[in-house]
Amino acid sequence: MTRARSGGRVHLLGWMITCLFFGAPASAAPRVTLTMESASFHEIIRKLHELTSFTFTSADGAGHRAFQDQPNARRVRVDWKEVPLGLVLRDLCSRFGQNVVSNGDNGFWFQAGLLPTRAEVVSGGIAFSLGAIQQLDQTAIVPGGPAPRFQRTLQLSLLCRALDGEGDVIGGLRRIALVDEGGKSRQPTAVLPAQDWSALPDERSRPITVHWEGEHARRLQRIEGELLAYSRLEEHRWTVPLAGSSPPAVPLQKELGPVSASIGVLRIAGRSLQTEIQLNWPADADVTVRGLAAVRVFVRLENGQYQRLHGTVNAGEAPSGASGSRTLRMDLLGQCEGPPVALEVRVPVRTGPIRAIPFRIENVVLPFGRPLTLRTEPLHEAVPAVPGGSDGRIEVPADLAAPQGGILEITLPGFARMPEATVTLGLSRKLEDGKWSAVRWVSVTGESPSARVEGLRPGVYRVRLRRFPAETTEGPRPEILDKTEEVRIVPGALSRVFRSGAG
Amino acid sequence: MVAEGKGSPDVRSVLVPLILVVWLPVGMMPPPAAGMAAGEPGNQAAPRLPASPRISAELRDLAIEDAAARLESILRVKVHVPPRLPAGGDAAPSRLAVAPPVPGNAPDLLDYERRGSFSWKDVPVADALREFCRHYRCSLGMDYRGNLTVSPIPLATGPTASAGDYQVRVEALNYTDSRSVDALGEFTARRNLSLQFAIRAVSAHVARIHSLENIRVEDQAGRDVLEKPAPGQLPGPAAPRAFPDERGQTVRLEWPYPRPERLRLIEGDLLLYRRVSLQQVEIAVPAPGQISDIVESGDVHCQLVQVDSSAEGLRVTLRLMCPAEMGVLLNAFPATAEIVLPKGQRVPMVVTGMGWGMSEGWKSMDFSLAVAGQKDVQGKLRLRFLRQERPDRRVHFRLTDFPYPLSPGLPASGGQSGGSQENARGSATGGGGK
Repeated sequence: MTRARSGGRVHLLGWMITCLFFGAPASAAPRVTLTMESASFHEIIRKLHELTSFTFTSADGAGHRAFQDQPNARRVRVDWKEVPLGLVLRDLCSRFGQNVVSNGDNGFWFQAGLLPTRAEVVSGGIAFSLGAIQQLDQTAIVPGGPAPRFQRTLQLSLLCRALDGEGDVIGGLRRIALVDEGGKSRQPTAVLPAQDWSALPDERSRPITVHWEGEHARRLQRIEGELLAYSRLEEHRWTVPLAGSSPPAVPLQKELGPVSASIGVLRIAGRSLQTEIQLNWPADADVTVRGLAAVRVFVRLENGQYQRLHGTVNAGEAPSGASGSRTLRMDLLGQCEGPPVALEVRVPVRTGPIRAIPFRIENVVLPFGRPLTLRTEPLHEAVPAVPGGSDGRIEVPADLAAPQGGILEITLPGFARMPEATVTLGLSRKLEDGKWSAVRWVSVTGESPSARVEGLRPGVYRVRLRRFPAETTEGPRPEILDKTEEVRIVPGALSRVFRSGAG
Repeated sequence: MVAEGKGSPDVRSVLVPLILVVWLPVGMMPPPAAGMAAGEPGNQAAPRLPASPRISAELRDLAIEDAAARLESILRVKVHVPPRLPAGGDAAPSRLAVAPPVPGNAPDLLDYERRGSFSWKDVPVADALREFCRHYRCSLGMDYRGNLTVSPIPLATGPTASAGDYQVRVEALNYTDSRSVDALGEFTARRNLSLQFAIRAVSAHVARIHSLENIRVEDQAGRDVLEKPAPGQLPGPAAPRAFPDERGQTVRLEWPYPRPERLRLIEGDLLLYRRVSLQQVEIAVPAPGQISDIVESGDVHCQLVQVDSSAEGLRVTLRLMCPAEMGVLLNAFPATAEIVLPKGQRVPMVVTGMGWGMSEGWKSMDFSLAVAGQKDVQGKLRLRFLRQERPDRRVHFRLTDFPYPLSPGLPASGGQSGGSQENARGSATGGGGK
């Protein structure tokens, strides 16, 4: 593979840094030339950030500007010359005991561990393996509606790693088939051609979805197909000067290799910059819209720094034009950290002669083939008791409670006819001097036509029952019920009030 | 609202129904209710809750798109009908498939050619919308702003269970068995049963509905699962639906057993607010860029946290805060936000829900209130809402022998239409219902 254009070359000799691109971000997935003596992990990934414009951060804080190494931090010598970033990251992980994943197309996140090891099949310079596999079995019923829907899908992620580290040239899949245990070949329902979410810059994942008819397979005899690989990645750049009192008039148009680019909106208000950019390209061109090596838009600032613009990105088939032509619409907005002097659109395009690399992965055990222990005996789960709830039990006010006290049962007149009423109970105990204690009010909840107060201190009580009607929308408003009775509570015995019904 | 035979709106008989986006003409706000702390001990009279919205209209010989457009103008909410497929794009260009057909499953199609007539005279809006759905063999969804969307899936008509003054129906049932191996080789199996319930207020107010809880299911072999909300937390609340007399709630149950064939029991408790009262507050509208004082109505705190004035009019952000277990229905019909100008003129506002959050036992809800053509407002915002308290009344419901099979190849054992077969109280058996 050759690279038509690189974002620049950097040579670091010890702490002597020579930055040939003067702060400009590197191309999509650059090669690295870096020599450092006795460098910590933090120091290395900070330099990689300067070289590539990607962010490199770690779970322990390394990579952040304010991070400080421990005195005993591991230090190594690195000497990379024109090494693809993917191989650099693998080397780093190996030497510092790290695992790494990509943060979309912004950068990389490290944490202590190891890179996953997978069973790989090598063909044509590409190592093929399987990432996540999911089998889904769904039944959907709409009572009275159409017939029940039974749907089964198999989704898997095919990982393709370029052994030379140049993942940018990896294209889409062609002629893919999944052969089940019985020898039946299944074709994917969807293979997304331009998805470049991956862990490292030297590999690409290709998600595959199959709507599965019949019982889910436990195993696949094989997955076979062809992967397309291009010979090079060209990064086309369009620089639009912004210096001056007003931005250039729009629309602006430019041909970037096979891609037609147009800027429909370009507004600058102070440090705020908004732009809408549309790209169109024919079906036979391969432009990555998300992930690593994707289309990116930067603002160049007066001080020479570059700032990336983010926003809404929509990709799809072009509404008009030749069949299969693609379009990408970007609505981007940014607060510039300095006066903007230029807008730069970078469009990586895979190009050159295409190779079809055949591959075959055999004996794939699927999730439905894994052992799964299922419960067969019922759980007999009971509905939890509701505090003060539907069983009609009432909590005793503390100053009227006695462990060996009596039980008061209250008939709730007409309760069933007025289920939304609010019922309160006022309890007042006769004191030794013949006076009544302060009234303790409790709420009665639940649907039971009677309620109980258990563990009530013995003595004579005045029980006041008040029932407030529910708010109603129709008919006459019911009256509030307010009745009082006296009752003697005896230890361990049941006493009743309102037995005749007061409603 | 369309006056019979004239085709013009009859605003007198409309109580604009739908839950989130509402626009009321001047003068539609009911007069302030006496005894605003309704339901408090000592009050002798409880103010009436707002009645269910009703509709009067004549629709003659209309295809679904035109009927939806008429409903849109009558109800003053957006009613979206998915566009037809372009000619030649499908074997049946007048029908729409909501999703690419899955092999072995028929696609859901909307019939654009079917025509219908409706004659509604002071009927509940919910009933009118159901008739619309039954006629065009569709259902209606509602987004968070209150806009309605027509879906080609017919209304569910399965068995219903009585729960006091309410009915509970299973609208959809999903069984999912998902097994995966992640990129690191870790195996995960997730198997669950998801039940989508509709709770309909039959003879009581819909605002009393809090949620469903303690949902318990048994399969044909008596294997049971019970919904377990987080300790100390109430489920729900159930969400507003397109039909103003309904709430909806989806419950997902982990299923540890082999795939169920049928469900012989679906039961649970309908949790109701014990007290619902109509409240009114007035908040002085501050100058743009300022925030208002907090106005308290019981435990409900009301504040205007943002006021913007532009050529388009006035837009304010209202924040309501209340204890987590309490509910506030600002957007219940009739919609109840208006600006009262110094000379007494009242200008209704459009109310849109923006979002809500929870913090330290308090619930916070934000609403956007807008009025066109009013820029420099010096007046008061008058707000009426329903305060929902004490969600502790439980009514049990029970559905037995749910007749729809969950395994391929099993025939349905019950009819999919026809009258409901309810027991005397609180239970029903399979067989379908309206």
